[in-house]
Amino acid sequence: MSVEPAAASRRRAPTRGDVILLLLLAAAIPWMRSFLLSAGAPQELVVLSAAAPARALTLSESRDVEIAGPLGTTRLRIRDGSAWIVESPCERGLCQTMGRLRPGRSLVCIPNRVVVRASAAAGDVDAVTR
Amino acid sequence: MSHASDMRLWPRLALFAAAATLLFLFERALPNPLPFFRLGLANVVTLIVLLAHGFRAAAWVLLLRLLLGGFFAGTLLGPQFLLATAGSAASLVVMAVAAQFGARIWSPLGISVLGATTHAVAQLVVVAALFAAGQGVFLLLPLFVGMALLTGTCTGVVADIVLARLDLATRTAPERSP
Repeated sequence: MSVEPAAASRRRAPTRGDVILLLLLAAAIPWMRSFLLSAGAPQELVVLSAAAPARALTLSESRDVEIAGPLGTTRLRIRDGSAWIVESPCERGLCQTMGRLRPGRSLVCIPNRVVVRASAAAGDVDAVTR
Repeated sequence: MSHASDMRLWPRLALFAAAATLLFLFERALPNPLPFFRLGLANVVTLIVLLAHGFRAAAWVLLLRLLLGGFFAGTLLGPQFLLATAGSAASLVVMAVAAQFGARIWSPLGISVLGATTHAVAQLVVVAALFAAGQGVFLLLPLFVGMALLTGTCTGVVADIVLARLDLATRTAPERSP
């Protein structure tokens, strides 16, 4: 411990090292995000409908899936390990605004009686209270 | 360390600890829309003391600030206090190492960013380990690190300015003889 600040050895901001450090850490954020999300992301999904037998699908294969319901056909899009409803014969189209299927969650079209459930990876939480 | 410099240093550290406590309490009083988002104003003082007076001095100021801040905020020995202690202790160690070996690479800004990032990561580790929250809390890591980059930059810029003025003050001040 010394009273006099050690001024000589200190550099003023920003140095090149500061900028490189910030850029590296900032670049690591999307990487961390995708790494963490893929670790807990569902690998499979289960499609339940009142008008068709249940079936299991894999998320790794990108395609559109047609699900028959009492009202008509609900169309599910599977892309890049994620899934969302693009079209449904329901009146208000709420299911199309649900966004992407997240781990442990479901996409639901109540009027057409269709449920798309993510089968969460092992070790994921059972439920979350809010 | 001579006796005379000791006599001049301790009052200064006490002032630094008081300033850090005030900044800590001021920041707590601010309206805060995000429960886990804190600017870390008090860490500016830790960084300044570390760079101006070394690790031992910074550890003293940090300890005093944690105890005083915890006492006045009513969080002493509670979970918040534990998180703050773990976060700032880890942050201080990393900043001290960075200041020791990276002084030619980083200005206070870079050291502050390293400290803020460490603070965020350490808090998540403690939450996962002690509060049985499981691995799920690490999903917050990208958000926390992103916040830490912002807050670390802010506090780093402030520390950089204050340190430059402190240098100027000590260099231009007439030497006081005992």
